Amino acid sequence: MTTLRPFTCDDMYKFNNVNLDPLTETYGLSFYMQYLAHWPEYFQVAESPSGDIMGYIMGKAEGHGDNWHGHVTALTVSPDYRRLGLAASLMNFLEDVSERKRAYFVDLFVRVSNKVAINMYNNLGYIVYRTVLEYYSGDPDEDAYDMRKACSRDVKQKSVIPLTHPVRPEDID
Amino acid sequence: MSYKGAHVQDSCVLERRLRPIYDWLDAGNYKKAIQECDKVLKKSPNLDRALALKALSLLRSGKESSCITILDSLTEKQLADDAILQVMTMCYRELQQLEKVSQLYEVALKVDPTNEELHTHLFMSYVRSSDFKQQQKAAMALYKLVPKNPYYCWAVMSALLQAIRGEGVDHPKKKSLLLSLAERMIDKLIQENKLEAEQEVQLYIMVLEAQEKYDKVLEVLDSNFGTKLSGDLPQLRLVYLKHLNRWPDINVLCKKILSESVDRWQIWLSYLKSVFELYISNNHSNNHQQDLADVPDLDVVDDTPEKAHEFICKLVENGSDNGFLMRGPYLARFELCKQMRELNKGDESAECLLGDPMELFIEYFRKFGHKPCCVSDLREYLELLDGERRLEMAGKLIREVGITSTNIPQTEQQMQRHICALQLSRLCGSHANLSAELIKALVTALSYHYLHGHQEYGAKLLSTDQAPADAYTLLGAHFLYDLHRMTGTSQPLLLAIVLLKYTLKNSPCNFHLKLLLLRLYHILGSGLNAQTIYDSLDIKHLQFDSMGYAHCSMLSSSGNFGLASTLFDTTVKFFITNYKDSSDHLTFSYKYGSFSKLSEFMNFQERLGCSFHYANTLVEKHFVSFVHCNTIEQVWALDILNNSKYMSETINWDKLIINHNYNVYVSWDPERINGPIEEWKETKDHNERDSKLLYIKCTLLDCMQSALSIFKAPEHRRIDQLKAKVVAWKETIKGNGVVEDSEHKLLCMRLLSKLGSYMRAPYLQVLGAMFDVVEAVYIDDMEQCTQVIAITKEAVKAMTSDICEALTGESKSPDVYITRKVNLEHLSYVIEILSNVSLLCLVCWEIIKNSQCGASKKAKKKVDNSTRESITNLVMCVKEEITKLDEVLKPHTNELTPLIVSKMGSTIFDDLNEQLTAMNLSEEEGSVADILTKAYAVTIKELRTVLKTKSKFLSCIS
Ligand SMILES: CC(C)(COP(=O)(O)OP(=O)(O)OC[C@H]1O[C@@H](n2cnc3c(N)ncnc32)[C@H](O)[C@@H]1OP(=O)(O)O)[C@@H](O)C(=O)NCCC(=O)NCCS
Repeated sequence: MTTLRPFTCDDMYKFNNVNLDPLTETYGLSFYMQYLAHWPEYFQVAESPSGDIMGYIMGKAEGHGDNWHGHVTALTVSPDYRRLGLAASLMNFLEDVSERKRAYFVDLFVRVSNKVAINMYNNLGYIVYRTVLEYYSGDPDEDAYDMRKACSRDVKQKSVIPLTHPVRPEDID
Repeated sequence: MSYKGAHVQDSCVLERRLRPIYDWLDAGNYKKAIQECDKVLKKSPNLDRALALKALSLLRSGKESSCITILDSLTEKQLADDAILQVMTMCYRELQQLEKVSQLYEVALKVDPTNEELHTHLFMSYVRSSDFKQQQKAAMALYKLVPKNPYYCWAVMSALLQAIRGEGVDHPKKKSLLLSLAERMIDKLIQENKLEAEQEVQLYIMVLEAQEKYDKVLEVLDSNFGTKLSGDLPQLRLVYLKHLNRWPDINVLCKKILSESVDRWQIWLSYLKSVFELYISNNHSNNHQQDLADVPDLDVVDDTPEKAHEFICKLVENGSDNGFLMRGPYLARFELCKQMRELNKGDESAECLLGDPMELFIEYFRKFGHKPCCVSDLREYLELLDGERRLEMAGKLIREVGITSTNIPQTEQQMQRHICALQLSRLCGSHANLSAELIKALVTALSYHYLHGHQEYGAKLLSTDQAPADAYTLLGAHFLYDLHRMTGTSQPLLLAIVLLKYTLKNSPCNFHLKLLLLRLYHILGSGLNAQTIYDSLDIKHLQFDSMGYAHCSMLSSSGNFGLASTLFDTTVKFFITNYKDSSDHLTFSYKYGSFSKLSEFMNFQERLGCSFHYANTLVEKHFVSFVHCNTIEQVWALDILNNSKYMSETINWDKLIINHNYNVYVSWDPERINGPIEEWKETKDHNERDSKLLYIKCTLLDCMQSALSIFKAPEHRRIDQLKAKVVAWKETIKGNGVVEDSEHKLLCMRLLSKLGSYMRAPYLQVLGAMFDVVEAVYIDDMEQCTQVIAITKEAVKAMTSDICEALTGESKSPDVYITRKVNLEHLSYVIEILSNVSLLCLVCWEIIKNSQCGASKKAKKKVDNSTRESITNLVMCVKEEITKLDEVLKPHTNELTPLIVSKMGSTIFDDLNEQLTAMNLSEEEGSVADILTKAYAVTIKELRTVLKTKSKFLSCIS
């Protein structure tokens, strides 16, 4: 069921079955619109035969020089459609787009407590590049892992040599 | 500007001096910002930017006219300084005068015609006001000045928009002219070898597509340009091949894609569509046999269901994509079966090819029954079986799982399959005609299964995981709702709440539980408890529109005016801000060249602006503000008095759209086989009722606005306008006649429209008479006045005695919860009516005062005095009635808890307790009754406070 199609504004009206999940953030409208306007190719949704949204991925390309990379801003799959390889194929799509854009790597942030996601990213070939302290505000604040996977352009895999020290949110570029 | 020479040096100083103003503006302290502006302006009175900033500060502190005066004076100066223009732009945007922004920049460009930035702002100003024609002109001017590709594309896009959304819509000739112009513009780029970026290629495709030149689009996709696109090329090609009915190509392309990834559902649909298109046309042109000998399998066109079946089977055999179990080919078989059935109604060819469809279901269940999605996948195809066979299948699935009344699931997977089989059984109608006893037994069994599933398989879950066993509770709640519908009693609802709350304690993140609780609390009229659940759902942003209605629309009619007011404010603010911001997104699209999103963004903007929920909330918000109007000063500061138009004129009635998200409410009711909830007849009826109700409320609001602002209108039109509005309102109500309540059948449906109960409340009797009083006082007709005041008094008395009687009888009613809910709703209407009456009394009073000052009426003081007396008399009467009602409400706030519970001890809770014990949930007993009763008492207290303030308010005017 992994036919992906570009995410459209109207999908925001029916993504609640996915977004009410506790680990999925619902952002302000402008945030989504900005992604749709700037990186429409990076915002894809998977729809079920019955018309429900099964999951979506939202990302962007940014950075200069050898920091030019794809970034996963949000990835989420509805609880009813998990463990069917959906997240894997959404990630696959984003990696393909990043390859075509000649990115050096793909990265993402994930809560250190989100074992399911971290495990999944590991299985998809991502490594923990560094820890970002208190990246997620809340009570208490939570650290993030900045995870990465090199693209083919980074032949020497320079982008995925882990940092030895954690960084603060204000120090990430 | 005059000091251009010293510009660089000066600008630093200037920035430093202006900085504090910006800071205060950012901090939202407009008073300070104005002071700071004045300070700067004292030193340099001609500093236009400081003036502009003052205008903005004034505007934001509500001084619209002073702001406009400054803006006008600045406009006269024909400025070209972008920093100033930016500030003025902000003002005009906040004033919703977008055309003024364009005028500003038009003028500025005359002063400074080669300024790229000013040109860009001019273009964007036209984007914001959707003036496509001017956009095009501005973009071309910009391109002539600075020949960059993006500017050129802006012009092309503007031409395209004129064709498809502008004047081209009604003038086909113009449309084709504009489109061919757009195409020629792009051709020119191509000839000059300048078409490069992905966005430009997309724009090219859009222009071709708008002209239905699909062949040419395919050429572009196959050319070098195609390689620039980051989308999925084969999928794109399919779109255009379909437009061209090139079914053989589609067939082969789909086969190729599918053999690489078997799970792409849209591709499966295209594949099967092509198979049947080919099959049908071949039948007509008589089988022409392909010579298949040397053609590789994948290049063979499958043009019969048999070949399609073979293809599917092959992919099923080949197995999985990278280790995952793929639903695609299995579902494709269902789709094949469905299409064959549709093609050959009544014959057995589908069965001959695919066997008994029931076997397909059973096989799918064996493969995917442990996945929650199995149910919604199969739901789409249940219509392949008739009612009887559905039941048969449901039985088979249950047996297949092997859980009976004597055993429990041994593994998590078995539990999932059990849940799936139960949900499918409900969908198949297996539980449609169960007796109350059987439903009770079923619920008990489900709660046992929940407890077991939670203990066995829930312990190791993270709090953020969804616990599979929760599904038993959800099902149980739906069965209890059935029971409530069967018996008409509240007891099953309380039971459902107990069960859901208990489960929620174990799974604090499960939103399905919360959505059901929200609904149940509202069904019981407990807005306060609903609010707690609503808060825990953390509804925000667009969810206000897609989910807010379920809660928002229930609050004021359950007496929770305070909560309603807060939520209405947040909701309206969301709509206003986002509607304003939405033109920003359009400008971003141009900036980044995402032309394909422009139409989508514009449609979305419209969908948001025309939201039914928005209109409804706006209207309700005003009525709640009437309820909360405690002093005379507050009356004259009411928002409604700032409206320059009547509410019913600002709502775009033809375009109102319900943006409610239905599919987030899961359920397994047989009705769901018949398509999505939003398309059900019941849903449409419901929406229609809601629209009617909104229209009635809106026409009443118009009357209130007209009455309250009677002195604003030109003198000769005052009373006529009010009369016209009142007639419109009365006719709307009468046009609706008596409205029977519809039935709320299923938990997944929106709650009932309030049209019925609203129409039964005496709005027309009381307020209708009250408007007559206003009129009689205004025209100073003593006789009429006496008469209509008598009528009004009678109506008010009848209203209060009705509600008082109902409230007093509450404790004797067989089902307190149901009665309470009905009474509370009625009581809310009464309070709303009394609030409106109070406002109208004030209006009468003002009219009398006004005429006594002798402004225009000539010496009618004697009559005035007696009018005055009769109004005082009316006010006294209303006050008395309010006091009566308040007295009756008193016991509902204090003694109530023990009283009701002991009362229920005999009627409701015996049975409930038994059931709870049977369900092992007895420790929760009573707690639900408690929280319902407490919430009820709190709400009644709030309403008593409202009544008391109304009474005080009336004292002030008599
Ligand atoms: C994380 C998430 C996106 C995974 O989606 P999914 O579609 O179920 O994942 P997939 O089926 O593609 O799984 C890919 C692989 O990840 C791993 N994985 C995924 N979910 C797992 C789980 N619950 N437990 C263990 N491993 C898991 C597995 O290795 C899996 O392959 P397998 O099933 O063959 O073993 C989904 O759980 C989700 O939406 N979570 C909430 C939102 C979130 O946390 N997003 C990430 C924020 S950065």
